[in-house]
This record gives sequence, structure tokens and C-alpha cells, in this order.
Amino acid sequence: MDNLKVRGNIIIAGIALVFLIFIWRLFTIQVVSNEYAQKALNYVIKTKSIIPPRGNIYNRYSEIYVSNRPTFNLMITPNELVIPDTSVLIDLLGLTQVEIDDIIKKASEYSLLKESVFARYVDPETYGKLQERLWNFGGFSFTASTTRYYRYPVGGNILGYISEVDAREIENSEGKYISGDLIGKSGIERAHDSTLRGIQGKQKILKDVHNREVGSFANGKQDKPAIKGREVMLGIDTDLQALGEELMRNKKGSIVAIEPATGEILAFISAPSYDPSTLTGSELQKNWRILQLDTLNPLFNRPLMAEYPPGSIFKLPVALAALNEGIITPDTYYGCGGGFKRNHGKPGCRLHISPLSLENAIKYSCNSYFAATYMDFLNNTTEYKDIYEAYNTWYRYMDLMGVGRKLNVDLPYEKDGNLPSTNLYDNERVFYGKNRWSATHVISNAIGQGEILMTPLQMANMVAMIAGRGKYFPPHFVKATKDVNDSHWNRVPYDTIRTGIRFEHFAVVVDAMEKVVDGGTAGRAYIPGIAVCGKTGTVQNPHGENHAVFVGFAPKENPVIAIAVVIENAGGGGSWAAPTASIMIEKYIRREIKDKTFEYQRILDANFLR
Amino acid sequence: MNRKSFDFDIITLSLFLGLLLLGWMTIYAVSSAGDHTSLLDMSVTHGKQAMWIGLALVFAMIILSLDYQFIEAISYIAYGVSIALLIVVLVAGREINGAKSWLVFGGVQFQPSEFAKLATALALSRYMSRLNFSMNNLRQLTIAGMMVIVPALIVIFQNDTGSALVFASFMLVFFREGLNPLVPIILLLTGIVAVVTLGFGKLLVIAACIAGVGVVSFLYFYNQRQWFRLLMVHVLAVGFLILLSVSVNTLVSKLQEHQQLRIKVLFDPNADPQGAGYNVIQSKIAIGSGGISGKGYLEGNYTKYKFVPKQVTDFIYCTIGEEYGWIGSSAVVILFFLLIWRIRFLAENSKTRFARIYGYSVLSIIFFHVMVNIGMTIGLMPVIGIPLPFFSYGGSSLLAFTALIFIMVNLYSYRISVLGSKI
Repeated sequence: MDNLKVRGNIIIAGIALVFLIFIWRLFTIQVVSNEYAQKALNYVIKTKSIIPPRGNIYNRYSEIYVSNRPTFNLMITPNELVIPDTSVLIDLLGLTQVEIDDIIKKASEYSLLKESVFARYVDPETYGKLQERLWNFGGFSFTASTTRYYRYPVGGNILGYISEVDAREIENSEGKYISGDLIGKSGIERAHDSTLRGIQGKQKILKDVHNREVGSFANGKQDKPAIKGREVMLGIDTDLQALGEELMRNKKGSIVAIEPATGEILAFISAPSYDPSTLTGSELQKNWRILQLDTLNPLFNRPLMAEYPPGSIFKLPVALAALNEGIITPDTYYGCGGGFKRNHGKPGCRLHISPLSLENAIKYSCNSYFAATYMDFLNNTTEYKDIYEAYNTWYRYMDLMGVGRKLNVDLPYEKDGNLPSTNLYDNERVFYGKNRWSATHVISNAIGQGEILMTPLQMANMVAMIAGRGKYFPPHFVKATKDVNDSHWNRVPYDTIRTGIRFEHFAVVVDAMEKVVDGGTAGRAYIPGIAVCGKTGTVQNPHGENHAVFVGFAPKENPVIAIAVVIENAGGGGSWAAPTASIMIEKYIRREIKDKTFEYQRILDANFLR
Repeated sequence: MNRKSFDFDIITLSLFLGLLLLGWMTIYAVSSAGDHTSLLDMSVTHGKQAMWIGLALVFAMIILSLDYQFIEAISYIAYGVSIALLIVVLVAGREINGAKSWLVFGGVQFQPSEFAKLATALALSRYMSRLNFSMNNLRQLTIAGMMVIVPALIVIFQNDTGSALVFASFMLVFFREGLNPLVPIILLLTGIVAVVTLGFGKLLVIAACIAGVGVVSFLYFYNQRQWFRLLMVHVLAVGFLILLSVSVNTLVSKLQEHQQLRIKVLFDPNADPQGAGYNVIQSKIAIGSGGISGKGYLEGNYTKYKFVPKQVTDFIYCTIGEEYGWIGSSAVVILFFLLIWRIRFLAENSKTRFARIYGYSVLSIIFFHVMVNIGMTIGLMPVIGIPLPFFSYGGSSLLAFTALIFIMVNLYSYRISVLGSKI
């Protein structure tokens, strides 16, 4: 039997061996390998991103212009649904029974266990009522979100709008955007999205095998709070913006006002305009489509995107370039007999005194004078070796003054305008070919009627440059930003741009611009007590009535506002554009309309839409 | 009864109670997740298990109060009843999780196959303890074998392969009582070959068999210089193994697909990550994530949040691994070993052959459960649904294991009373 007792030992040894193998195996998967621990964390912990509130937007007087308003999304978890009474949902959410059934069906198809949106953009008031009445419902919950709230219902074209990111944007963002994130789709919201959006927070949440959240991980010690987006201050004067939009009622066109000393944009009207709050909340898609289909195209941001031949206002930079190059002096006189004689009477001109000085040429907007100046500029063989050198010199001046080129304003979709280069005229297919054009071919550039195109923003920038006597800043909307808890604003720095044109030449042009308002073509822009300087223009419109243009600034010394007004199909600049600009100027300088009440009523009553 | 009261083996009792307490704590850790019900709330798993534990303790008292001769006397009756019950289940049982192995009395579910193990152990011990019994008597060996095979076959028909496999543990008892070691070795080899064939394919296994047999037989016979015998054994063994692997392979190909997969995922859990492999992948992650000292009691969020399926029954060991870490899970393995070791001690030191054979039956059954269950959770065994003694939730298995152990304690206490002292 001893032999058999040994077998008992063998059995125990075998069992011990098996258990030792287990302990060794446990050692390898629990202690040696890190893989399982890591996998467990990955499965159990869901990192949830917290979408931070967007930064507020302020007007130039530090008053809140755009803020956030809480909205709520009503969520459902299909397999937990208990609906004792659908009429609550029908009454409070304005849904029909069919719609409710449809939403529930779609949610169930997506997932029975996960939440789906039942209704978006529930306002706080309805949210309160729903909370009261859903007490005996099952499977309903709310998630908080925000929507934009506009203190001033103006400047839709400036602010743009926000909406939830779409699938393509999430994919292209390399993790920057997550589902449910809000993104600026146009305007300031888009251009400054990265500033306004804030920094996503991270929250680690424990989940169970069905992906249901069951608690926070490590008591939230590893969580990172969301950081609110930065507050952004615009240079916009919301009152002025509102006045501008009011004045432009029943008109198509633009008003752009700039503070010459800083380049801050004070007002930026695109007419017809729309209330920015139409593009928020549940009506966004619907309203956007309505605006999109509107024949007057309110979504077309005219100050930025509409390109016009500038017309007579272009005589100002032409004069400045010619003065600085010594082509003309303030005492240079040219004759005018109703047209430019040296080019067979083209361009034509109106009846006025002749011959005339530069000052009078500006005052009466004499086409012949500037055609002659331009021709003498391009044909000056003592200064330049050929017309190319002369033209390029002129081109450089225009470019320096911000004419016909992108100004890189902080708003998306800015158009270039057009400043034709010699290459354009050298192109045989489109124009003349190399060495096959002369000053007479391009003479209409002198009076802003040739190939030159400018946006209203460029027009305003040009007159701001004159107001600053050759010194200007890139026009911009955002003047400062700050964190929500900061007490001080951090100014956004912008580099000064200097044209290099001598100060005394501006004195001549500015004096003439004062005369334009005081007895010249822009008499309707006159404001008693405020020295307004300006220049009218008329944009030839082959499709109908001409477009009225006025650029100006005030006061003459230490100007605080430079403005460009374009009213489509309103005829000459003097009758409609000039008085509109002067109402804006008075409002901005005096904070009220005192002397321009008659013009104010007249402009409001005018309708240039057919 | 001529013995002092409470003269029972304290070590076995302590190990039993320790394992029971640990088991209930673990079930509580899993089932209490998320809500704060009272400890004995009968509507939740840990509350029900507490009730079963109470019942098991009462059951243990009753067993301890029995006369050992009475136990031996009712062995055959118990066996007969258990066979009858198994047949009743086959006819009128309820199917749960694919196995038709449950009887329902009122609201209580009961699994006769758990008691069949106990009854078989008793009956087998009685039969093999007959004075004229010999392992070399083919007739007696056949009868003993049939006593094990019959209940196992009925359980297989209940579609409860796991419980049926437990009956294989009696092989250890036979071995201890003098069975030719070739029998268990060949059977073990058959099992290994079957499993490995599924994992690695036929040809490789045959080659490995030939090489293995060659090496083993060479080492065994080399010194005896019996070259002819060496060659014969080799040829026979290789022929046998080839026959075996071919037949196993055909047999295996007839296995149900889910059974094949369970074996395949043993070698590569990713063979079926959503199905059979899922359990293994998840249970290894749960155990592996415990690290050296575990996440702490009630902190096992991986098992708590139901990433591991069947986490209070077959995969309860995952929670041990996750919450107590390597130290704790090794300790549980060691506790089981100590229990087995102690039962073997009781068996070897019993005065009667009946008690010894019964003791080996108990330790073999416990060992088989522990080996298969823990081996399965750490990916060393195929997924076979048998409970981990004292840990897995379930009344039938708890009562059966309690009875198994306490009958042994009772039998051993007879020796104490005879010798008048403990060893």
C-alpha cells in the first residue's frame, strides 16, 4: 500500500503544479503586462469634451453687443421612454403627433440605449414649464446649450452666425471640433472663431458596457474645466450702425465708416440688411434659405464683396500721386471745354469755369483736368524712361493708398477690387499687347471709370487715408480682446501704413474736399459747425440708373470719422450719397441728429428699389 | 454518539468559512454596484446568496450530527435517488442558458447534477471500500467506472457538458486506488490532443506526438536496454496517436460550432472576439487590470459595470483579480490549495477506506472545479461553464460543496473520537 500512498503525493504535487502555473500566469497578466490595465481604462473611461461658452462680443463703448443665452435640448433615451400624455409635448413644443412618432422612431433606429435629440433650442421659459410637467415621464432629459443673443438687432453682415459643426468640418478639424460644437459660419464669428470659441474641457466619465454613464472618474480630479472663449470688442458703434441700416432702408448699397486715427470700422452697412437673430435657434435653416433666395441678396456682404468702378472719387488719389511726383502743382491750370480736348473730347465734362486749378477741378469734379494730369503723368519722359515706368510708378502709389487691393480686413470673403497692371494691357487677347498701348488707351483710369474696381470698404479706407494725411491703419473690426475675468482689454496691434506722400499735398486736396461740400458737388453734405470734407462720385451703370457714391471725413482737422456711401441706382452722388454720409457724420460726432433732420426724413422716404 | 461535541477538524472548518466569506464579499462587490440596498435584501444577488449561505450552514450542522455509519449506509440510496432525479430533469426539467439541468420546486431552482457528484462520490467510496475490491479486477473496475459514467452521460444529455466533465475528476480517485497509470495518461493525452488539434491543425499535432512519444519512450526504456520493446512501444504509441488525432479530429469536426469556437479561442481569443472569445478577452482584461495589489474592495469598475459577462457566476474570479490584484488572486488559489491539501490529509489519516476514497473524491471534484474555472478566466482553459466553489453565485452548487466537505469532516471526526486526540 505504500506505493499507493506515493500516488497521493503525486496527485497533490500535480495539483500544486497546476496552481503554481496559475499563479505564474496571474503574475504575467497582472504584474508584468501593462496591456490589460491600459485596455480596462480605455473601455471603462469615456473622455467627454465639454463645450465652453463662446466669448461675448462688445461694441466700441464696451457695451455687450452679442452674448449667450441658454437653450436646452430635450433628449430621449428610447428604451426608457414613458409618455403618459403626449399633449404636453404637443402643446409646449409645437410638435404634431406624427412628428413625435417620427422623432421617436428615428431615435430608436439610432440607438435604444443612447440619447438622441428630441427637440433642439428649447428656450428657458419652455424648459421651466416642461420640467414641471414631465415629472411622470420617463426617458426624457435635458442638455444645456447656448445660442447667441443680440442686444442690438443690427450688423448681421458683420457678426455672421454660428451653427453646429457638420460632419465634414469635424473630419477636417483633426480633433479640434466635436459633435455638438458651435462654429462661426460667417462674419466675425467665423473670422475670430478660434478666439471666441474658448478651450474645450475634458471630463473623464465611467461608463458601463452599454456605454451608459455611471459616474465620474477619480472624483473628477483629472478633469479639465472648459475655458470660456475670449471676449471680443469691436470698433462698431452700434447706434451708428443702426442709423445706417435705417437710412439704407429700401435701398441697395453700402455705408462704411472708419475712425482714421485707428482704422477701426465704426459702421459697416450692407443694404438690405437683416436682424442677426434671424439666424439663430431652431429657425436658422429656414431663415437662411429665405435670405438666400431673396432677390435683393441680403446675404451678399456688399461693403466687402461688391466691386464698383469708383468714379470721380478716384480723382483724389490720382491728384495726390501727381502732386507728389511733381506732375502738377496746386497752381497747374488745365482747360476744359466740356471734354478732354487732347483725346477728341473724351472723357466728356460738364459746364464750369475753364481753365481751372486743381482745387476747382476737385470742387467741380472736372474730368478733363484729371485726364490731362494722368496723360502728363504717363507721358512724362523726363522723369520716366517710358510709359511702363510711369504707369508702374502710378500703380505703386495707388497700391500704397489701398486702392484696388485686398485690405485683409478681419472678415471672410473679402474681394480684391481691381487695380489694372501693365500686364493686363499687355495681354493681347484681352487688351492691346506689349508696347501697343498709350496714355489715351487707359485715360479713363484717371476718372475711375476704366478697369479699376473698388469695394466700398476700399473707398472708405482711401478717404480715411486722406483724413490721416497719408497715414492709415488696416481697417479692422476687432480692436481688443480679453479673458472674461480680465479687467483690462488687450488692444490688438495694427501696423501703421505710410504712403510716403508729402503732407503739404494733402493740405491742397483736403482744402478742395472742403470746398466740395461747401458750395461744390456735395452741398447736401454740409453740416453747420462741422467741417466736412468730401468728394462725390457717380458709378456708370450700364444696366440702369447710375450708382451714387460719396466719400468724406469730418472734422477737417483731427478727423474722427471717414465714410464711404454707395447707393445703387440713386443717380449722382451729390443728391443721395452725400446727405446720407453727413447724417451719419453728425450722428457720430454730436451723438444726435440736429441739423440734418430734413435730410434724414428725405433719405428715409427715398426708395431706390424697383 | 460517542464523541465530544465540536471535535471537528478546525483547519478545514476555518478554510471553509474563510472561502465562504470571501465568496459572499465578492458577490456583494459585483451585485451592489450602483445601488445601496441592504445587505440581506432578498431581491438582489448578494441577498439571495446570503440566504443560501445560511441554508448551507444549517445543512452543515445537520450533516455533522449524522452518524458516519448512517452516511455510509445511505450511499447507494442517495446514488439511486440522484440518478432518478437526473432522469426526471431530462424529462421535466427547465432549460436555463441552453442546459436542461434544472428542477423547479415552487420558486426555487435546483440543479440535480450538483448532487449527483456528491452521491456518486459516496456510492463509489462505498463500492470501492469493499474488502474484496481490487483495481485489477476488471469486473469491479468496470462497475466502478460505470458508476461514474452513467450520471455523466445523463448530464451530457442535459446539454450541460461542463458539469459532465466534472465526473472525469474521479479519475484521480481511481489512480490513487491503484488504477494503471496508463489509463489516465492516455485519457489525458486524448484530451490534450483534441484541444491542440483544434488549435494548431492536424499535421503539426501528429508530428509533435511522434516526437513526444519518441523522447518519452526513449528516456523510459533506454537504461533497460530493451531495444525491441522500445521499438514496439514506439510504433504502437505512434500508431495509436495518429489514430487518436484523426478520430479526434473527425469527432471535433462534429462538435457544435460554439463548442469548437470555445476551444479555438483558447489559442487565439481574437478568433471570435464578439462571441466565445469575448468572455476570455474581457475576463483577462478585468483580472490583468488588477495589478499587484488590486483596485481595492468595491472599486472594480470593470467587472462592476458589466464588461465581463456572467460576472457573479462563472466569471466571479475576475472580480477577485480586479479588486484584490495578484496578491489577492494568488491568495485565493493558495486557499483552495490549502483546503485540498487538508482534505487529502484527512483522507490519508482516516481510519476507514470509505473515508479515504471519499476524501479523494472531494478534493478531486474541488480541484477540477477550481482548475477549469480559474483556468478559463485567465485563458488557460476553454470556456466551460462550471462554478468556482464557494464564490460563484448559486444555491445548488454551494449546498453540494458544503455537503461534500462536511461529510468528510464528519467521517474524519470518527477517527478523532476513536484515537481520542487530534493529529
